[in-house]
Amino acid sequence: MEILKHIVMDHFAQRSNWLTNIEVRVKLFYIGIGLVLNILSDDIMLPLLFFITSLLLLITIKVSFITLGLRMMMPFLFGIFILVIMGLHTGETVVFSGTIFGYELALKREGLQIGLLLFTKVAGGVMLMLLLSFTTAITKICMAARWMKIPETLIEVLSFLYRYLFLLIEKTETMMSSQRSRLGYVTWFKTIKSFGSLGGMLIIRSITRAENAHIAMISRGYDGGRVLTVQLTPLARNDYAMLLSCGILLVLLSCLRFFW
Amino acid sequence: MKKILLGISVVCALLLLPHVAHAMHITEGILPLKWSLIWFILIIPFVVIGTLRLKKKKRNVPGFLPLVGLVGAAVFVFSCFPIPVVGLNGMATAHPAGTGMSAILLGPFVSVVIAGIALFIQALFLAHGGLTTLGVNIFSMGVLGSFSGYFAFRLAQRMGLKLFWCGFMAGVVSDLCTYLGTSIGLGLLVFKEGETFSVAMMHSAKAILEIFVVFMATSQGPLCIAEGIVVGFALSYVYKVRPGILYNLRVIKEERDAIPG
Repeated sequence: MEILKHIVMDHFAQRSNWLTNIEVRVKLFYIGIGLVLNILSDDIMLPLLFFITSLLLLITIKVSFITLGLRMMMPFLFGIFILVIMGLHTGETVVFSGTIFGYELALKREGLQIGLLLFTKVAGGVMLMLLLSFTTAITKICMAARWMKIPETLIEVLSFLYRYLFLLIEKTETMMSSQRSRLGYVTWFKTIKSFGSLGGMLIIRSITRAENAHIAMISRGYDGGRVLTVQLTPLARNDYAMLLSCGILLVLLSCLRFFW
Repeated sequence: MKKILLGISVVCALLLLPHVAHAMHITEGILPLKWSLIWFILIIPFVVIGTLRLKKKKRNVPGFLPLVGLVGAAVFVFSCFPIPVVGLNGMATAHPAGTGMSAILLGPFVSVVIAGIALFIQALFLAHGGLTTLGVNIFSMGVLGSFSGYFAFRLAQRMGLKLFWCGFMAGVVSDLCTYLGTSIGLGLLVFKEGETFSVAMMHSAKAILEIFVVFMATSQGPLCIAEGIVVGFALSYVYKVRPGILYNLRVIKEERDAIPG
């Protein structure tokens, strides 16, 4: 749970560096178009280029390989899973075959090639997303969402959820360590029972906290209106320049694969 | 050869076990644009109705939005509980989906919205799931998970089961449906346009079944049961300590709905 707090917290995005200082809409434009180009790609070069450029950009702001590796582990495993599934189901040319529990399995070349393409798309896409999350705070994303006319209610719920997530993680940790000290996790059934009461306690705490938060908000002038009062300023000249640079970079990346 | 293949598959399953729980979210880059758009279109009505309900409720009960946000955060934390996979003696853990719980507490449509927001945060900050795959993930976890969990809970209540078993049913069914949804999302990837519809569907159905079996045979089968028990215990605990919460949220309406577990 402690690890979760560190992973979910946007402390990288709170730092001040050249990537966090770029306007959020410019970043969203680059990441959005990049993700679409990534899934439209029909060879492995473009996803690989996205992977490498995003990785290089993150290295410039001193994001460690361990941090990136921790986040990339699950998507990579998923990519391998898909590689095997595609290898088993697509194509004609068998490269490896066998039987498991009487079930015929055959890995085919064409399927493995498609699987490899998907694997690189996973790597490229996830690295693009990490580029956004490591350089943009959630409040900025909420402000951009408001600018994009996403319903206010959704943004408010997102703000509340993210705001109180860390508080509840902390409470859960405290309760878990108390349960552990009273041998609450010694057997499987005891563990499940402890998680049950922990879940119940979480619900009670969250509802009590919501009541208190609402009272506090009313006293601070909240009348059911907007939670976000700060708005994004209009794009400045350097933002347009950055937007143009991102566009040129995307076009270059798309064209580069033809000369590879 | 058989022994080698069996050995490889066992090693692969063990390697994947600790992490496969998050495989309920299809990761970024997997879906082609066409499928990505189809899944987004499919979830739009549910998200719109959920948002409208939230808006309406917010007008009538001003404190409802902080409540939804906090219960959403609680369910997010609940979905991160490291539940040990039975039989592996703590070697591997899996994580519950949590949508069954949120659907019981907030209703299925609001639960879809909560699931969507939680998936968005998980995609960005945990790299579990993705932005172009948000549609399919909301469909499997939000729509299928929430609605199946909610209806399983209500059905169990109508059958006069104890509160624990109602929660158990919701947890098990929502988890099963979430994995079924993920399997459908992945299985449809082998759907080929060049083939006739029936042949392509046969291929997809085979892939869906295989993926579902892989999920269930590794950690997710036991996890469904574990999540059911945890949800059951959690609801019983709330009923024992603060029954007013369950009445206010209309989880239980009458005394007969809440036979303590």
